[in-house]
Amino acid sequence: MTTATAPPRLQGDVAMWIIVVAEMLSFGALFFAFALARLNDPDLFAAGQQQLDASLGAVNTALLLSGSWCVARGVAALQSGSLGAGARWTGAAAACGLGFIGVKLSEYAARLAQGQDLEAGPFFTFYWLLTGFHFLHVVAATAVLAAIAWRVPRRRWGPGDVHAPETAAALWHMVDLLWVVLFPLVYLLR
Amino acid sequence: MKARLHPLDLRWLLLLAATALGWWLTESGGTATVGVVGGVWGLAGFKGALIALDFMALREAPPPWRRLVLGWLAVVVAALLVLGLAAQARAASAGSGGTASASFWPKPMAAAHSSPKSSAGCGVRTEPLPQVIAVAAQ
Repeated sequence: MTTATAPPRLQGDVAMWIIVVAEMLSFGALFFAFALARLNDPDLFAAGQQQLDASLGAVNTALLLSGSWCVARGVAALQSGSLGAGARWTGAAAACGLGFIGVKLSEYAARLAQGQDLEAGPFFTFYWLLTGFHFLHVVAATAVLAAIAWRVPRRRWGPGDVHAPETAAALWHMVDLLWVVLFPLVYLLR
Repeated sequence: MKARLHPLDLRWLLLLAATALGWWLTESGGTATVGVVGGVWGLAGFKGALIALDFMALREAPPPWRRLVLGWLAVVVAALLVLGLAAQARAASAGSGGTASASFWPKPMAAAHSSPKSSAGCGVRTEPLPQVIAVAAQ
């Protein structure tokens, strides 16, 4: 008896994956620039990093990872035909995104209150560019996930048609993947 | 009723555990050692690979896509590890009397970056502006 194995399949739209790869390359260049600038002035960057609240970064890491888990469970539920579970998991992922946005806004408010804006030295220029670009991606991905969660019962995505949820999931997972590198680079390693 | 753990649940728990371990490594001991830097970047690579393979479902994707994402991750993590260790060595040599005065930023630019708005000293050079300009003019 032979068991048929499913042929390789990329989940989500190829256009989204091209965007994902382009974003990864862009962020990779920014990560490299940050590390290079830090190499040339480690004390200045260490002083800047000491001003950050790494615990808020850790909370946001847990939120993004949990969001990715929820999205993956949501897509798996839709692939197996469980519309209700798919909507709930995707909605939970969007809630994780909202949590990230709330924590990040409070962090930004604290930075601005201390005068640590985009022009407050090389470290904070990089801090705002890196985390700011990433934050915008989180906002976009959260909005897309919320729209998917709201549309699931109406659009009735199911086993034969999960293209849109899979495409939204690819966007979210990219945001998560980028943060997994950004968090230790900017917050943890001083 | 017996609750079953979905394979994705296990990945999520592993990711949270790796995050907690990385947090503990950096917060438990003051200055990061070589082992801590290596450990944290190793954990970041592990987490990224789990996200790519199991959440992004690249394990079942055509190999070129999987290689592209995992290759990006490997290159980025390796580069940041090497540059991070180099920065650490440079800071250590400066602390032990070595010279770390050379800056990526030209001195006038560094002076311009010394914003008085930042009271906490981050991104701030301690030399008074006229002194920095005088040094740069020499």
